[in-house]
Amino acid sequence: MSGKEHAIVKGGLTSRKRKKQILNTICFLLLAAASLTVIMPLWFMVSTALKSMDEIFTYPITWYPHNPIWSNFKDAWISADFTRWFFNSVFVAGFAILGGVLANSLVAYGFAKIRFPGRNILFTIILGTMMIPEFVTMIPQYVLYAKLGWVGTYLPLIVPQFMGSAYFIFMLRQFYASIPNSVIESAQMDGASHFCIWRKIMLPMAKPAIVTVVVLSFNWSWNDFLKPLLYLTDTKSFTLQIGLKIFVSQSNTQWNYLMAASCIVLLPIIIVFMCLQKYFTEGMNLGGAVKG
Amino acid sequence: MKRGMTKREKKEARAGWLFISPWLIGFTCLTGGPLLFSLYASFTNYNMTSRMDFIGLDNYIRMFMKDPVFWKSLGNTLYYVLLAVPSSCVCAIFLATLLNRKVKGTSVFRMLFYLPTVLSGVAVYQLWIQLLAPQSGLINSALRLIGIEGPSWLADPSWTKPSLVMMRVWALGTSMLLYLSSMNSVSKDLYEAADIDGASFLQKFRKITLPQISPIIFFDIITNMTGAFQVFQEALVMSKNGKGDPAGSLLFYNLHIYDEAFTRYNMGYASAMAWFLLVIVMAITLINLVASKYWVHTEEGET
Amino acid sequence: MKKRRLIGLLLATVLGVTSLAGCGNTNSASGGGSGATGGETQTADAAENTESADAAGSESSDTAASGERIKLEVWDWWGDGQYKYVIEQLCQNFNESQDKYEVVHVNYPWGDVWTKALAATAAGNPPDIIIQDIRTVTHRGQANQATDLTDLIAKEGEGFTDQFYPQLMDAMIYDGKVYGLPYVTDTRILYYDKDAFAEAGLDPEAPPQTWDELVEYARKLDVQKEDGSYERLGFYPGTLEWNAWAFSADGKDYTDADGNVTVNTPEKVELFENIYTDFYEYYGKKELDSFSAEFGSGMTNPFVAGKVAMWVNTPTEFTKVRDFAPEKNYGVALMPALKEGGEHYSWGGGFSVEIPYGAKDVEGSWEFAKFITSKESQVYWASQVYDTVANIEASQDPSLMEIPVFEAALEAMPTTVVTLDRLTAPGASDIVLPYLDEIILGNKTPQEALDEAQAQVEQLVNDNK
Repeated sequence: MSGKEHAIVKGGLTSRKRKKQILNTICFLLLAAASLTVIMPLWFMVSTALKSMDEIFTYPITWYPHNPIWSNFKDAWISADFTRWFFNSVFVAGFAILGGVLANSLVAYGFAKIRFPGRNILFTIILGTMMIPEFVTMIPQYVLYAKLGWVGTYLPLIVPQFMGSAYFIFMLRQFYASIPNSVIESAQMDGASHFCIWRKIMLPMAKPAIVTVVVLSFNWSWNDFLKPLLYLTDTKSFTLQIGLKIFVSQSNTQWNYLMAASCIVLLPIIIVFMCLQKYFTEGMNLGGAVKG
Repeated sequence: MKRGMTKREKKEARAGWLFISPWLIGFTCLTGGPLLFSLYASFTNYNMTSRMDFIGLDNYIRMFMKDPVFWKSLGNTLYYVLLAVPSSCVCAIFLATLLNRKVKGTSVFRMLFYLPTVLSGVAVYQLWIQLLAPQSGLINSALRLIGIEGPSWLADPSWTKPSLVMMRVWALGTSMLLYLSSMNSVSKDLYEAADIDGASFLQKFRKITLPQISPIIFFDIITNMTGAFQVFQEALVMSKNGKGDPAGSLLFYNLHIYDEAFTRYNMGYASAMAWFLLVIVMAITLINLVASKYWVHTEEGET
Repeated sequence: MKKRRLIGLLLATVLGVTSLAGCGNTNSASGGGSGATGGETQTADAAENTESADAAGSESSDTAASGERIKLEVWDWWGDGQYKYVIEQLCQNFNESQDKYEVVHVNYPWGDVWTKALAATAAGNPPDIIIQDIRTVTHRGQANQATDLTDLIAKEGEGFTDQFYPQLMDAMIYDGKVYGLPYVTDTRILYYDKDAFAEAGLDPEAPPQTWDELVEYARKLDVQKEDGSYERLGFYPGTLEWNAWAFSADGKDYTDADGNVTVNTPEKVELFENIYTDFYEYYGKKELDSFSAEFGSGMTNPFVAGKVAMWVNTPTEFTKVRDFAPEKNYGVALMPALKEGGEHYSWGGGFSVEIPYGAKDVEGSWEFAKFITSKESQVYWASQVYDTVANIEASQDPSLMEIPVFEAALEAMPTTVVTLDRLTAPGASDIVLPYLDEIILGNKTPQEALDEAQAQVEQLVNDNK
């Protein structure tokens, strides 16, 4: 922090451009240093994935594989039905994104921009649902789904996604809150309904937030373990995370396969993030509407 | 005039209920029942399979007066929350500020810093166990370079919680993403106007960025706190026997709930603990909510 | 106008969601829409229904009435390598041995399988057979999660239960009734590096018999580096959980069936005095901490790596030495006795075979449970995955004795205490553990710490009366 202030003071003496350059360089160096902490685990994963079990067990730990075994990736993948599980995960995650965006943006709009009686109490209840550890509702929830005949299907994983999640509702509500009410009021003057405002104004304006919901709901659905474990009963319908955990056994964990499969499972999330990241840095499209 | 207003208000109310109906349907049909069921269960000796007799406040009495580890687990958890929430919020804002500058390679950096959130499970815990090794671990090796003899982290009861806090701060990708999105949503006009006035970077940050992203800061604090109160998985995996050792220093509230519910099948008692946790977290949230009126910047003047 | 579109959209969402039900193999596709009667009442009903869960099972067994075999599922976590192969082989053997039932092996991740089974049992649709933790059988008996097998056992005639180790059989009983059959167990034995013994001038064929010898040998086996840290430790006590050390001091659990509390026995106090003064005080806690942390991840093994000359571990652990240090010349022995001439107590856990309450065909499940705990199946299991099996005759089978660990394990079994999480003092070991940590940290003397723990457990027993 003090380095930055120093840079600013110095920058004041020279031109504005130079100041900016120095700041950017400092930023870059800081980021590069910090990113080491993240690259490390990745390296650790990849290098373990390439080792033989013998090498994993050598002491002291080797920091890179001496005889990289590239076939570990393939062997891990075909050691179980991972290809099928991959498509199952894609299927579930697709609905998670769709439901996550639709339901949460609607509900959050209702809480952020429409006044109605009971709003604050209901919102407090939503917050409350986040605060109860899921262990204690797990069993009754399971029994309820079992009564509905949903156990053994994807419904317990998909349907709740269309009912909104406390986290996203709260998040989008906060984002909407910073969109000026004047925008809505002027649209209402022109006779636009709330649904119209939601679709034509809120969704486009809150694009960074919506994209954040897409990324996060994909990530969470992709990494979810407990729900698929509880509700899927047929090996064929499993998702990837259950498959990964099978490598972890009570005493003899297949570390190299576990890491190799984990690396492959990670790829889709990285790709989705890469594709979408330009949107959350693009900024809200406030246009001329902000004037008031 | 007045009648017109009521009519409009009615219309508004109808629209409001319609908009929130997906959640309302989900809550009444699917999630609300189990929630209320667990509230009722907290007054019974519910064990999930054979009994559910009403026992009044016995669970709560046991919790406050008899359970030898209840207060310890609550204390551990509070310590963790107090340390973890502020540090991860501050670090996430700082990181997002850096990433928000259009520096070379930001898109790669953004992805890299998001990665820890994506990485989950065993791989990460393994890595941290190795990073935190007192002798050969990277953290203590780095500290030794600057002449500090690092603690033995996960083996020393007074350093286990800070170790877990470090892990949490490390995985701040989600918060970072939120701050990035909200920083980018701030109107460029505001900064341009400030530039014309010759404001410095820090001034702009304090006067424009912080107030503009304050709704998200508020959100991040509340959700982070809720998450930190429920810390569980890390403690289960990182303590040698999954029971919160050494010296019970990682015995967190949720770990205790989990043990009661799934090792000893005392789901009634576990539910009582869970609802007490809700009361604590909700109370803190409501205090925050009131306080937020003074620092969170919204259009409506309320959050 | 516009609002009608909003309603339309919402309806479309709900319809879309409900129509999804068609994807699954469920017959209640309308469930999503018609469930508006209020969630609470439904769940309350559901919970009540679990009490009469056995009724639910009978429907599904109808499907097998048409002369087909009845399909049974056994749930466990044996999903990889040798374990998976062996359990599936056993299922196949069972299926070939009769034509009424067909058992299918289903594996879920370790630990989580029990959570899933619990939920399924609570909903009245449990697996047919499950492998469970031996420490908590009584809890499941009390909670009616496991089927009472007493009558089925009685039908097998006198002496059926005598084929299992008595301490394991004891763990199956709650309130005079039997809720499972013991499957496998384990014990702890001492591994020692014979080459290191020879190098240090010790007799490689004479492992330490008492704690005094253990400490004496350990000192001779230590190899110190120039900077004062240790290249090799003679003996490292941290591989065994502190609770397990406590049990192995006098072969006594913290409480017995009558509610007597035995936490601060003189033997337990003495053993912790030994561990603290001879190891943690002698080497310094920091040194041992860093040692344990280097190996704590479970990825590396100090005995394999030659960083420790003696340690205590399960018999099965020898496979790691076999696979990763095949040239290592090592021996196994009983755990050292506390005093000269004393018993070589050891500690173990294990797994049981249970039939969850509400299983659809108890008789079929029982046939399978009997089959996999029979001598033949158990010898096969032991010879393939090297677990110590619960069937006494099987564990003594001559074909197994070629492997040295089996002999040591067999010798250790009679003095191995299997500890339970007792209903009279649930969670007692979790309460004691932090006190044991305090001893190791040097914050409390063993006597102080164990006295305090004793008082806590006595309180617990009182509260549970």
